[in-house]
Amino acid sequence: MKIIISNSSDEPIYEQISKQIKGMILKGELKEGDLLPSIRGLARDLQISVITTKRAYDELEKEGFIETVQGKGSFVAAQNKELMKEKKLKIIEEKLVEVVEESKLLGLSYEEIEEMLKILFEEV
Amino acid sequence: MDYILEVKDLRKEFKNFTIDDISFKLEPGYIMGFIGPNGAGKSTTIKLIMNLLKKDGGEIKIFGKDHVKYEKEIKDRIGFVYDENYYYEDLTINQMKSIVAPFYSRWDNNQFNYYIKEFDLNPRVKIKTLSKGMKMKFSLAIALSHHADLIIMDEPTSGLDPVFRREILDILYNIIQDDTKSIFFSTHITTDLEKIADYITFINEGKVVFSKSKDEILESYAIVKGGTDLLDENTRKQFIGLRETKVGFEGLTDNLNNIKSTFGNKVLIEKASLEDIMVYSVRGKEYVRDY
Amino acid sequence: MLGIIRRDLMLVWHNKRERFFIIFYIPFLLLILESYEPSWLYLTILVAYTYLLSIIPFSYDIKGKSQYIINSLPITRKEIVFYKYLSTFVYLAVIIVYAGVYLWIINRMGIKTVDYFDLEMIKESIPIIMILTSIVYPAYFSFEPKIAQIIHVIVFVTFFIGIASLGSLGDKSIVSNMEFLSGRGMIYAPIAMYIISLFLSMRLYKNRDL
Repeated sequence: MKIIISNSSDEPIYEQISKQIKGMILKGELKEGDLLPSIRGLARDLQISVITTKRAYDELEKEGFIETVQGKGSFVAAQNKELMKEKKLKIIEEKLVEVVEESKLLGLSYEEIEEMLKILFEEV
Repeated sequence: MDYILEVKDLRKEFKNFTIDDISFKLEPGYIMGFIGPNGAGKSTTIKLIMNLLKKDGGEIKIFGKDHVKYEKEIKDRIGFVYDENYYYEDLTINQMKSIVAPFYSRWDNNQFNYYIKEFDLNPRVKIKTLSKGMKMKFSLAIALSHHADLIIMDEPTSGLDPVFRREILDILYNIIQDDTKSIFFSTHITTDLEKIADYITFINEGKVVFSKSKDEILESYAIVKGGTDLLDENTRKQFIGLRETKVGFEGLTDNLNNIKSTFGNKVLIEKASLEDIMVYSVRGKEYVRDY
Repeated sequence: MLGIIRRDLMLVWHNKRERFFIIFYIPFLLLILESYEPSWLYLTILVAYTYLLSIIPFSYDIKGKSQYIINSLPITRKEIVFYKYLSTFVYLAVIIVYAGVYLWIINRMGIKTVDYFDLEMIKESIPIIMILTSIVYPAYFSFEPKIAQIIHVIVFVTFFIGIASLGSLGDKSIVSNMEFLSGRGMIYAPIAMYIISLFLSMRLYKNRDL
């Protein structure tokens, strides 16, 4: 399991954590029932505050990605395949909205963006 | 118990200095950093908590009990580390330990020996031969060897090198894996706390400036940088502290929205560190025209 | 708790200067007080040693604020005071043994004839010790260590001068001189003084800023 946080990023640390865990779940790297590190253990490993890790886990729980059992820990929740797909699409949609907004601001056309996407899908 | 340490409206008057309205709370399982410039009242507050100084007003509860009325049973569960080494210099580590250990009901000699070994201390040497860092490690070894539930430290890392300070952080992280224990840690070296602290209480000139979770603090403050042409009577007021030079200004704000609407994107906005917050809050508006 | 007493003994013993002093003070006293009676010498040694043994640990507070450590341990101010007052008698017992052995050796070596155990003198020493300490203890518990030290020096010097002049009354045995002290009634005053001093110290120390 890999969680890397950046201190210089604008993104709050708790968000970085929840995003990365979310990503791992969506990609299938973390499977249903897998035990996540304890919030205190994670705080120690990342050298951050317990409140931060707690917040990340609280968010993940709210969005249905994990479940916390008192005294046992936090586990990856059962992910409905449909829901998973929906969640993935939602993340991409949010990013695409940004791309569309920026393109319009800069005066780029849909075709130019499409061209760019094609190239990127091949290269990356 | 809701709070492991509860200070309410604490007051103490000295001839030239008063601390007043000091209030903060710490729950079990968390670390609170107590920051402030030298002379702000940090050591005084800790001495009042430990009943080394007598308070003039207010209430202090530890483990839910009054800190004077239940002094003995409370202190049995407190591990303390002070900045000056007040131990008897002519005694050896072992001798000092043999004096202190019997006072504690849950003294754990194995744990003590473990820490002495971890810290690379020779138990047979006299305390006066130890360097400042080693004395502090010794204090810590004692504080951690009687299953204390609350660790109180008064500037334990001042004068110590960064390598060593990181080691201390590791030890603190390990303590806090147990969610029934808490740590209260005063320092003016804010970088130590930037990582580990859950809550920060900032004291200045005898008063609490704020007492909040560290995340909340770092999220609500920001450093704003821009050209001096942007400043005037009104805009200056939006900053808690401001530093103007010939080539621009740098200021601290706790109201990012205001700043954004005032200056738009003519300014650069950066994260404020605890040190920035402390320095600008203390210097305030005097920190102006610093050429 | 015996921790306080153990601490005091360790402090006295483990400091080179104090240890030197403990070992050589007896011969020193024997030397300068040559012409005095054996029983009087014994009394002086008992009182001087017990008194000094009790006071020395206080001096450590002048150099480093070790009071901060002791007061941060699970012990109340009242207890600290109480055990201090109790410790006086523990030290007396220690000195009786120590001086006893020391002086016995001196006797055997033929250096000087001196009492090494005298129950009467032990009984006489108790009220004197109590009087001295009941004045000095409260001073240490309520004043700055430096000021308390001045009081201690005054008290000790006064005692010495007093006992010296009593002893130098020549042929009159010190015992007869002290007879006025051994009357039943006279033991009560020092005890009362000691107890009042105890409560006074507790009161003063309880509210003191360290």
